[in-house]
Amino acid sequence: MSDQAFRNIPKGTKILVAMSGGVDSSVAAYRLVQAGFEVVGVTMHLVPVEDKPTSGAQASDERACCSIAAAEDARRVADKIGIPHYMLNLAGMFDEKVMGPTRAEYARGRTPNPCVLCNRYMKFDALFERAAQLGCTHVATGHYARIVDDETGLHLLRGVDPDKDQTYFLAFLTADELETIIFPLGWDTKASIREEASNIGLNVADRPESQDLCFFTSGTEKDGIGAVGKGQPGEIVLTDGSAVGVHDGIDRFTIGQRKGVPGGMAEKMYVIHIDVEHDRVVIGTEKDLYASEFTIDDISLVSGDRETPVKFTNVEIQVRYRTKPVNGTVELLEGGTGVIQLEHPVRAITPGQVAVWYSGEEVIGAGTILSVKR
Amino acid sequence: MTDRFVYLDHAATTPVRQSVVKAMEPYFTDKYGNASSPYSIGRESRAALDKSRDAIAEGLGVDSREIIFTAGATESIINSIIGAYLGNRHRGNHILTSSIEHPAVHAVLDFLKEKMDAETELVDVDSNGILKLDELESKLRDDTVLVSVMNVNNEVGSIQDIKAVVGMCEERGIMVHSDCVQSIGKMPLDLADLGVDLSCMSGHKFGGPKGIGVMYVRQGTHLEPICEGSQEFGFRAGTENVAGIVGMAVAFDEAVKGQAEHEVLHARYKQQLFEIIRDAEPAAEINGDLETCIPATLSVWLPGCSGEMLVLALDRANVAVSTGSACHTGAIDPSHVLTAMGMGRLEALGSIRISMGHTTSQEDIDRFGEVFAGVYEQVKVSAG
Repeated sequence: MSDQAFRNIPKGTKILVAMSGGVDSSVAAYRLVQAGFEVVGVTMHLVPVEDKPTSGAQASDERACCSIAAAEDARRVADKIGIPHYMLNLAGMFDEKVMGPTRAEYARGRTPNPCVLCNRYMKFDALFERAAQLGCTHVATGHYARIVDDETGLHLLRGVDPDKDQTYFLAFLTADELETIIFPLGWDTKASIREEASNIGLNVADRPESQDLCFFTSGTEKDGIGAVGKGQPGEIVLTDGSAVGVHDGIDRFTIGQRKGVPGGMAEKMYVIHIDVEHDRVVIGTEKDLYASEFTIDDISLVSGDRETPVKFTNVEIQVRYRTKPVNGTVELLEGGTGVIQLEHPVRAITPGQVAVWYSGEEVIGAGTILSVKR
Repeated sequence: MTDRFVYLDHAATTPVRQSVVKAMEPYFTDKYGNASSPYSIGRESRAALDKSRDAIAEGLGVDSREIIFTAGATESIINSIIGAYLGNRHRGNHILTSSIEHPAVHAVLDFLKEKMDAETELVDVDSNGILKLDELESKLRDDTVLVSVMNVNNEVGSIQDIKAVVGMCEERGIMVHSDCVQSIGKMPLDLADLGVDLSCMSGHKFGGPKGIGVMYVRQGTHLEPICEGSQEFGFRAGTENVAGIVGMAVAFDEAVKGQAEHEVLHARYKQQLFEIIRDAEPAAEINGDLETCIPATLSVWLPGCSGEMLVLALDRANVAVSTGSACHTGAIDPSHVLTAMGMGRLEALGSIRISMGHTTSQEDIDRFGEVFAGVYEQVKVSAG
């Protein structure tokens, strides 16, 4: 582990740590205590929990994030490391800031990224507020990302474990916000964190990854949040505009999807574009899925003024989590939009998802993908 | 944490009185006999049990045979409501209860509805948390078998007119259950005078230990035993918790004896507490009405404030109060009591409950006064 994560934040500083009950946030909390901070643990209660007994014979193996079992794990870890632990009811805010916008985006034929929204509004905005209310000046989480400071200010860098780096979800943070954030795990690999958890006797050492348990990522996310079934029926068309079928609603489709696409074509066909205005789903071949230019809005820069037009050249752009970034340029325009040019085409760039650009290891900015040029 | 710990959540639980601990102690060590055993230490336990039963019965103005020891009020509620329903099933399946009952009662009624064909209905309360008696009367039917209305509400402290409820039900042959958990030591209580058929209390709410309680069953009430066995007149199987029962009886006696004095003190403290809160937040309002609530409980609405965060921030300052309700993960849901009293869900989340008991002192109130304004400011100013 590395003390670099704690920068020069003095011992005794009051820190709120978000604890999911999983191994990462548990070790993060432990390290903060070891480093001499005054730590308060919180677990966010984001979705209504099934009102069923969870002990003994009726217990299931599921330990979804926000479940009673996860809260219990967090409570036990907090007790073991000797810090107070509170449950925070943020279900109303989660519905307003994450679920609502996610449903709305699907209805617009876009494919939103609820994880980004959750990190932005719940993990950080809500936590900053709760921290201040509890007299804490800093917020810590178990994200794999690094915050470093030098003479030019604070920078957000990828976590050193390439398989675990989570900066994609954190790219909306600004340098001002980084000032009050601590990521104790950014210099570590997942394997070393598991080992550390095991060494210090945390019973969560072998728990599954929390992001794989979040209800949003269970594979049925659209259905699970009631986002499907509100769209109008319409045509399925080829790139030349000729109709080849009908669909029950654009909200059932996402870029790159094959399900619901008519068969019997010479090549495998995929959804390549969703035409919201005409309730049309455009399909094409694998080749048609590739693009190298798209626009973004909802732009955020770690440092600097996003209102001022600027061009970032020779940056690396990532259009989804855990994919290899591609070199290109990002040009921010007046009015809060931007244009991204990639050096080579990328498959299934999807409106509603987030594009993050990096300079080497460092996050420069992020924006939501608006439209893709074909 | 070196600051004085201030405990103002006696409606949740209370510290066990020293006299109670002392009275219980021999029943763990020397007098450990099973009250059903024929030899000396068994007989000793039996005698202690009888004596405790007599003392509690006398304090409640009822007969000893009407007092059944359980593991607490929740168990009493389960056994008495399900038992009364099954024992009177031939007469009907309709049950009425107030919208502000403790979740233990609502949960049992939901169970009867889902599993045993009961038809259950809620009766509303007014903005002070007082049951609408005319609505109750209008909802009584020929097939109504049971009405359950709590004596004192646990969240706001509102006192219900149980005699009036009994008056309506008695003439129709309907049984009345009244949860008296929050009444003991907080107001005079005479179950015979109230005339209810079923009631319950929990030892730990008045200076006794946790895990022990009373189910009151008036003689002549037809109740199907749910946990049938040789103990407790056939209504509660299992070896009696003699130490707990002895402790509860001592706590009960002291709570009843000290009730009048505490009522006066609590009324004074309540006024002071509300003034402290009002100084910090001029828009604060009491949920319920001083006249119709017990002095020991103060529920306050702080407009625009998060009750949840205020409770947690007060904990950081070593002061224990409550929001009054919590969901099972420990996070706070809007109170069903406050929403029943007409508050919106968001408004209801802006309330805290302060409740006093036998150990509450002027020092507690003074310390609360020292920290409250600062903590409130921190919670309010930091809110986005």
